[in-house]
Amino acid sequence: MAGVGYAAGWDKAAFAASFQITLLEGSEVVFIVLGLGAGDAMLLRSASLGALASLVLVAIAGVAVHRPLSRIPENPLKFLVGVLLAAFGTFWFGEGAGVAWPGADGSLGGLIAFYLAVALLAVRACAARRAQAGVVA
Amino acid sequence: MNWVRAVVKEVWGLFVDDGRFALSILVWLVVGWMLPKVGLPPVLAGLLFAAGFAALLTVSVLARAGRQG
Repeated sequence: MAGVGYAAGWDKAAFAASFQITLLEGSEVVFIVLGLGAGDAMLLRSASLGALASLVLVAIAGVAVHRPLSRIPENPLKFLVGVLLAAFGTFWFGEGAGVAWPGADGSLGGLIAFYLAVALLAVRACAARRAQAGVVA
Repeated sequence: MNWVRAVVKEVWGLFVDDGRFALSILVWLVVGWMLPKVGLPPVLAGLLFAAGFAALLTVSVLARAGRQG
């Protein structure tokens, strides 16, 4: 939305986008807290406090750095976040399912590198496919 | 009731963009859950799970790129 300019009053599109994204991420927080706190009440309390502390930190960081953040290109940011989500999701699901990661927590770095390599190869394959389609057309 | 349907559709769309891809992930999660329980070495189960997930992602990306031309 950079460069659109700010109109006076409420921007419905910004409100709706923000509401949807926060609803989605908020539901993920609920799942994470419930997953971590499934053991006992003390764990649930600690997980909830951790989520609350994170919310406060993110709000402060958002207010402090929203201008430089809005200048980061959207697609590379999505690409990087996708790689991180895939790596963390795989790691945590594996932990829950009872698999053993080589190098324990250190394998997260390996998973991030693995998914980054796969994603970069997929981008190249897509570009090649698109170029081929362009040549055929 | 149209607005209820619209809200439900929007919320569903937040979590599911491509139904077939979402279903394949769910199936792979079930398989991944079973891998260490069927006697596969835990380290191999982890590697297999990550590799399968990467394969699903790649196939989905290539299929979408193919559809979009």
